[in-house]
Amino acid sequence: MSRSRQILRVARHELRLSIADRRLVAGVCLLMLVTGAGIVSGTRWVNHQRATISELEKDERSRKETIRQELNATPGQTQVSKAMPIDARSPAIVGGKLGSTYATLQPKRLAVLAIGQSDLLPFHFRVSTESFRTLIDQDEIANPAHLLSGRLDLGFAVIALYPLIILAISFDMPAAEKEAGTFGLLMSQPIRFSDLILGKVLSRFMVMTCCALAISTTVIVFGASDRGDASVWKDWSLWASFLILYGAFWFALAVAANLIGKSSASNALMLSGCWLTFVLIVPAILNLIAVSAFPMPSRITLIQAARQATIDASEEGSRSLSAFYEDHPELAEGSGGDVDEFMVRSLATRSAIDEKVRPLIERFDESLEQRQRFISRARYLSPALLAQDAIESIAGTGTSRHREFLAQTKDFHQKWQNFFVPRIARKAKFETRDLEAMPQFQFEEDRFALTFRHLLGPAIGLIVQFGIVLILIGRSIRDFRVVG
Amino acid sequence: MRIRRIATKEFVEMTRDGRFRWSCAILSTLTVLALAVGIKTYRDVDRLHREAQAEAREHWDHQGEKNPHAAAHYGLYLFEPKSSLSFFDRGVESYTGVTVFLEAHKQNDMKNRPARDGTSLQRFGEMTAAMVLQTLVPLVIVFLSFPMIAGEREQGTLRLLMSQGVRPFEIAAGKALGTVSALGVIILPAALFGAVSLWLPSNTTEVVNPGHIMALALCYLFYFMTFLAISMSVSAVGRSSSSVLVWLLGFWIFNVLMAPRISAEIANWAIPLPSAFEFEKAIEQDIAQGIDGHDPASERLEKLKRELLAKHQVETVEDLPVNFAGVVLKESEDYGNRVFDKHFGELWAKIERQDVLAQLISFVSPTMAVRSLSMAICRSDTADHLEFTRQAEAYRRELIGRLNQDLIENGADSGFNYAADDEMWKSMPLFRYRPESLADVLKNQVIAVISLSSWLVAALVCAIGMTSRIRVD
Repeated sequence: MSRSRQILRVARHELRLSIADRRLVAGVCLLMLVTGAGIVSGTRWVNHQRATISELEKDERSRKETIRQELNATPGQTQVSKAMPIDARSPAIVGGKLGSTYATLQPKRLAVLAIGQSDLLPFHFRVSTESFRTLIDQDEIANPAHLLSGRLDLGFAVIALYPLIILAISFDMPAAEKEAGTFGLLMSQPIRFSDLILGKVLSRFMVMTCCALAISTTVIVFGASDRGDASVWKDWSLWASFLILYGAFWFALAVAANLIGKSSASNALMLSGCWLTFVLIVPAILNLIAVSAFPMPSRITLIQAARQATIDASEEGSRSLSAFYEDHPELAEGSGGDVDEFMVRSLATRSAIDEKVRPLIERFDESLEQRQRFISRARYLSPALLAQDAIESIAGTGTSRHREFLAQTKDFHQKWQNFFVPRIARKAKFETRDLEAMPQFQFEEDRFALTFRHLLGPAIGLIVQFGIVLILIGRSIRDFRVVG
Repeated sequence: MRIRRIATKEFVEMTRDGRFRWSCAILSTLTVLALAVGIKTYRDVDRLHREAQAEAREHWDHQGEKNPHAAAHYGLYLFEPKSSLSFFDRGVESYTGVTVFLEAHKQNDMKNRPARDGTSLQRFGEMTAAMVLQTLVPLVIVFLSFPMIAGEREQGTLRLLMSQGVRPFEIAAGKALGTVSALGVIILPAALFGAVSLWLPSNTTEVVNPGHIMALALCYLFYFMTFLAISMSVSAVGRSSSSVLVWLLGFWIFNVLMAPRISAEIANWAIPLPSAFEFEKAIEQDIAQGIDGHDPASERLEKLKRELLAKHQVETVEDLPVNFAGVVLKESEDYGNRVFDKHFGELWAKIERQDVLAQLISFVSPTMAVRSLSMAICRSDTADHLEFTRQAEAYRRELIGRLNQDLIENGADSGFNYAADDEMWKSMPLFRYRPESLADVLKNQVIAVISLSSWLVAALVCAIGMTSRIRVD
């Protein structure tokens, strides 16, 4: 009998045994349950994001409609709605709160796969002539305890639970046979030890991988928007490859422990120690190092600096005055002041302040960049970190896509300023054609290139880690004692 | 006597095990490291917040001559002080805003969540002493105690032991004692380090209250004992030591990994929070259209004017003995406050209900109970954050109220041209956060207290019951 057929035969026997044994069934059921919950939670979150974004769009449209009506009204008859006694002909007012637009980050097609950092990092910003630093400090409402504990999403199920289930079904592959006394009997048969192990591992690997793939395919069929799009399936194949690779690593680790360990209990101890190290301890220590070795200047220093700059700009009076008139435009005329004049002065102050705090913001970005560089090198220490990175990149809910979003928002904000600032400075009147020409934010996905570049590192890392464990297996398989 | 001998044997056996020594070394190092970083972070942030607060007030005091309402728009920043025990348990501190801008007309959100500048790694859990105690120590308890009885049975030594006339209870008690002393070796260095660093001289604002430390110690003692008793019970009934280990690991995973997430999902599903946009929109709507939707701002203004003119029996606002603009501001402030009370009140009530739900879930997971209690006692939980937010808002109202009052009373003739000076700004009260007392904190955590105590009692009863009826094979 050829070796491959023998391995397959072992696998077949193991499969029958596994079905009789409750452990594999329990493992599969648990996986189904948790991923099911993960799908529900991911879908709910994605739907919430989409609903919020469409609300924002609706709000923006209705505000634009108000401006249009104001602009079309004959001079004397302005103020369409009494609730909003504002002047839509002032570019400062339109570019400020009234005409502000939203920069939104639509969830990617496979966002259901992992909530990732998207519950913490805002997915929409209200862009106006306000300075960039104030417009990005908006946050989504959330219970902080939930941000702390994280969500029960598919990403969590794959990164933390999937390895545990793998380890639970494979920590005692020869050890259980040894303890039951059947191992000697088996080895007296014409079969190689390595083939036996391979067969055992193969059956379990097939079951788990098939389950995981079946589940993620279900997610796409039911969860993803426009599944007819070919790129969805391209992303899906990336996700599937990572799932297989990540699973393979943990299976290999289980085999290594089986070869090194003595009893099933000591295997279990060793493997749970590995899991703990990779999934909890290494990330926590790396985070600790990142935070202490690359300290960020606190946001509070930024607030202080901005405040100081405001005072230094010595335009404080006019700034607060203009803020005041923005709030009480109905009182502006009575005071005899020129609203446009205030707007110009306010604009000047604002840009003076921005100029002053710019070095500090650059230091911020630099520290953040340093931290990020450290993390992207350090993640190679744990397969869980690599998997998290890959999964969040595919789902589009990681930090890298959000940084891209921030960068694009910043560019867009600059465009917005370029559009409005000259008009405000000229004290020009805002007109209907200006309304049509106002810049509009559109997140440029630059999809596959981004994903591919981000996935290369994790893929190589996982393959190398898998290789290291294979070498370990190769070494210890020779020393494995069948008897004793 | 026999119990002590068993305990000694157990202790010596454990400490000679290489695995124990390793986990002991790793765990102690991690705890001390976490404490050291925690203390440094606390001191740095605390100093920064106090300095920033002083500077903000300095700016406020010396803003120069201006209209009180312009000063109200100039506003004041408040920085949430860090609780002194946050070096031990940072709780939700990374995920709540730390600054709030107090200004006229508007109750602002707390901004600048530190986690937004954090790394994606922080979502795996931050390394704090509390994390080590809540997550890793129970795991060590499981590792140490799973073979306690099942292992003896497997090796056939349980039969031998029983034949010597040792009672099952004595075996269990001795082994438990041995494990506890082994655990002590792990936790003691960290506890000593923590205690010493607490008394080290520092120029922080608040002194740690011994009551808080007692409560905290008691919580963790209850928690560890619960885990130990559960491990012993499972070890007494388990088929083999490996199956005992798998069951106990399953329990640990459920507690540490699953329960907090399940609780978050249930809470979000049962008590959904509005999106920031919805929330803001609703407030804007209510201020413009009136809380009941039939009382637009313009009509409110007209009504106020009519009433005021009638009250003082004059024809025009210029003839009023008070500053009309000031009265308008005060009215709109009061109206806004009603709207804020309604919306923020609803939002906070929802968050609090979500947290109560999390406490209820602790009846199936002792880790949830100790997590909630530990955060609450260290004042790094959501409740403390909301309390700060409430006090900050109360302070804002007092501040703005006083400024408006000054405008009404002293600016009658000059309208918005009236100006006050630095003396006025300096006379404004100072903000000082008064956290809730330990008794109040525990009152809010009553469900978690009951749940943790019931866990301990149930686990002990279970352990005594199971171990007194050990099967020999």
